[in-house]
Amino acid sequence: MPIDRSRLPDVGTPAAVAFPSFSRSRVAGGLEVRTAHRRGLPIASVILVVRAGTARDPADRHGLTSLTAGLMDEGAGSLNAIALHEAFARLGTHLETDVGADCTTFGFTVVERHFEAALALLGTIVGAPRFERADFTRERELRLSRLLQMREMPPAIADRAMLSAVYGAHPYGHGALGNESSMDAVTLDEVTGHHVRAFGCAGSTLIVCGNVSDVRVERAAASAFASCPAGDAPADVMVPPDPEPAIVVMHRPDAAQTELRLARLSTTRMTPDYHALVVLNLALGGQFVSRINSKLREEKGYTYGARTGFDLRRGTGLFICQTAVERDATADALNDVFAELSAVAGARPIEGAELERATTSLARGYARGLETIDQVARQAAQMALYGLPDDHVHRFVPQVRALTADDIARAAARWIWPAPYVAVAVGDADRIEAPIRSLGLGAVHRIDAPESILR
Amino acid sequence: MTLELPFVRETLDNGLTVLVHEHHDAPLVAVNVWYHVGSKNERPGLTGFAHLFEHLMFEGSKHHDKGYFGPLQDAGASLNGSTNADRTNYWETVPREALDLALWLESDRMGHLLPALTEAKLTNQRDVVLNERRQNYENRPYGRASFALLGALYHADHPYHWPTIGWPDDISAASLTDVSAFFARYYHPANATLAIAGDIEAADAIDRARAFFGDIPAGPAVSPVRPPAPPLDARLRLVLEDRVELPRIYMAWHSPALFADGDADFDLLGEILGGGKTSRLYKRLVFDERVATELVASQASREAGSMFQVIATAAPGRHLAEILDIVDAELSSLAADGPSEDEVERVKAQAESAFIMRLQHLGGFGGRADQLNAYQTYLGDPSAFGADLERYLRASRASIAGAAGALLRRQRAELSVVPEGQAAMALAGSTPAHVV
Repeated sequence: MPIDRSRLPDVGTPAAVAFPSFSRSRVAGGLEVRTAHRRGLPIASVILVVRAGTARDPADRHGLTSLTAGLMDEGAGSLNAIALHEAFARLGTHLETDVGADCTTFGFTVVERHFEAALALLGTIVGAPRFERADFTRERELRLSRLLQMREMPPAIADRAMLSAVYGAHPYGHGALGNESSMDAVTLDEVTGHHVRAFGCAGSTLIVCGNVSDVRVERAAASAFASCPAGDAPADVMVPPDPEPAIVVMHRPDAAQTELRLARLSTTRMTPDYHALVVLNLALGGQFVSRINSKLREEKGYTYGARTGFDLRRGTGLFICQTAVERDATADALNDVFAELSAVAGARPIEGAELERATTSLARGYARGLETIDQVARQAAQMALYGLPDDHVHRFVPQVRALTADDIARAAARWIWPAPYVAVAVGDADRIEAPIRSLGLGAVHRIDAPESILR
Repeated sequence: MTLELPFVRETLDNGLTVLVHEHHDAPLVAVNVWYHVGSKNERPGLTGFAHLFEHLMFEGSKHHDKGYFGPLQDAGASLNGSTNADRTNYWETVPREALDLALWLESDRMGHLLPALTEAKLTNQRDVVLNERRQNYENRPYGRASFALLGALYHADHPYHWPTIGWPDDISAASLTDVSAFFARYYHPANATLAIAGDIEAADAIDRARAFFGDIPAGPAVSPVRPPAPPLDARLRLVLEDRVELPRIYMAWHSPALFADGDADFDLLGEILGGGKTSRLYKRLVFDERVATELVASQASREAGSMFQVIATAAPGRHLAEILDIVDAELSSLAADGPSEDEVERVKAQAESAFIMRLQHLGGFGGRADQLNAYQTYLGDPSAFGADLERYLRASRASIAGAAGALLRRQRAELSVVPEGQAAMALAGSTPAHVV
């Protein structure tokens, strides 16, 4: 029988999302262990969440946390830097270190038969990094070179300028790599001291998901992290004051494209509005068919893509819109984004079919994000970091489904518009500044040396 | 443990190859379509078409004349497509209850795209592509280096001479007539393969594939494009001024084609030279002598001939010529003595892990469905997963030494990318590269 092409096929009811239950234990020294045995491929994913984020950088040493984390696997225990990397490579894996605002994660996925050996290496890295001077000098120089190169990277400049404009001197107001003056001044003693204070096991969580039994994990963790120091728990970050609304134009002569960011303060990951924010963002700018991408890319052809997102943290996070647009479309694109932000909290709320599509999309797509053991481990790491309840995953779909248009409207009015926004445009100021000013959206500051944000 | 990717294959009457892989761990199904067309099927003056087409394929077809992202994202799917010199792929990973939706849409754009293709869509997506080009190449440090290298290694009418994204003038000039002719020639069942992987029975999947795709007419046979790539007859030294802070050297050689003899050895050579912090060049250039800040060495494998590259960014105050000397010294040492047993064991362990990790995802770029289509398209044999890994496990100190020796004997292109106005930072004797 021929296919009916007069309409799209119906989509049936989605299966419930499966998420393993993690068993918990604790290692001497305070490290919490959460493990879930998952059969299938002979591999295991490991993530160590340490409560050392960029928010713990001292005010005059931005980048210290990232530098410390980056040096921890440059030699540890009896192994120098090269020998340590080679040891991971022999196990067919490598360590990935990610420094965020609230935590640093160390992670790897490894063939199951090498699980114990790889975990032992991780334990040595966390508990006994060597911090040798030669490694410190090299790593610091590499970071200074990276900062130098970022001068010509519009997305990096825009991100930093945005953080700085929204947060000011708040601990969330800088990039992970810090800046040239802090990296010039930093000393090896500061790194060593920061490691002892910020990278301890108290408050840290080890997540293991994969084809290894709970007993094996607990035994291996006890051995690997036996000598891990406790360290200091991080202080809560304060609530930042609202920024002065402004549009910052950073001059990049002759740039054919303008890198754009719009941002405002939002709330924490623990907010009771979380599910409403996820739905709201999906409809507004979270995926391809969202309002803002449809407008700027598919209707106007200004950009390769535009997205929004809530960057929620343990402390006050952000709402951000980011895109890169053709130079001569800069002011119009900026105006379009502001129009969409105000409309979603006013003239054109997310409701009816549009709301139904967003919630359905999230409900149906949720299982996709938990396909691999690495994805499951990352989800578990988020739950540990933010103290989310164990049934967070199982409750997600019902909670999203239960949201009403009123819930979304309230969330939009509170967390999207109105609000003091900061916009950053990295582009050819000689061509884009005047059109931006003529929009009359508020104060416009021109910065002729964008690289100053990196100094 | 034996690593494999089991499948069932069926060829429909119209020539469409259908591959099904059952995997019931998660309630998901991956749909993946490869068209054996890429930028190497284009001609000078009409470059960027395969990629432009990738964009247009998401803009609607005869029976669903609006965006493809809408219904699929509403159904919880992730989806995307990509184009390179050799092939174009499209995929959707859907909750299993949305499989028919994905098959309906994929078959509609394979069988019924042109009636829905309009001047307005073409104009809009031309602009989007020009913005993609600005974002990923023109406004990105070192972004145009690959254009210069391809231009240097391949003569002007070789189809690897131009980048997949195309030349801006060609993209701007793309007409509805040209674009339609390109579609008719390449986007049809006989030049495509469909893979379905995941939580579905094989027989059921094949029945559905036949129902949705079976009535699409077979198109004209497409002959393989395998133009010879003549070796360079002399070393080429080029310089490109760019908005960068630190100079960077690109060394590029012709190397064995994808799956040809030696391809895997060059891949492993890339790992030994530049794969992470344990590699020879990283140790010497970045760790010990601190002459460079970043390093890549890799085999970019392609159907009609590959390119082996070593890329290194100079540390502040250091010279590209210093880097070049060290690379040549390490190549000479590898060619003469081969890598150590330990190095070979390490890169083989990494390769084996990488193959296991590749089995984690059903869909998406590099997932199970994508791999089946790759083996079918390039080798005519979807069962090649195990044999592919074997290529790496068979490599030896001698075979990798042979790859290094081949690089030493061959002429190469050396491109210096330097800060604007600093042409003197380039290798001596470099001539300006012309890129758009």
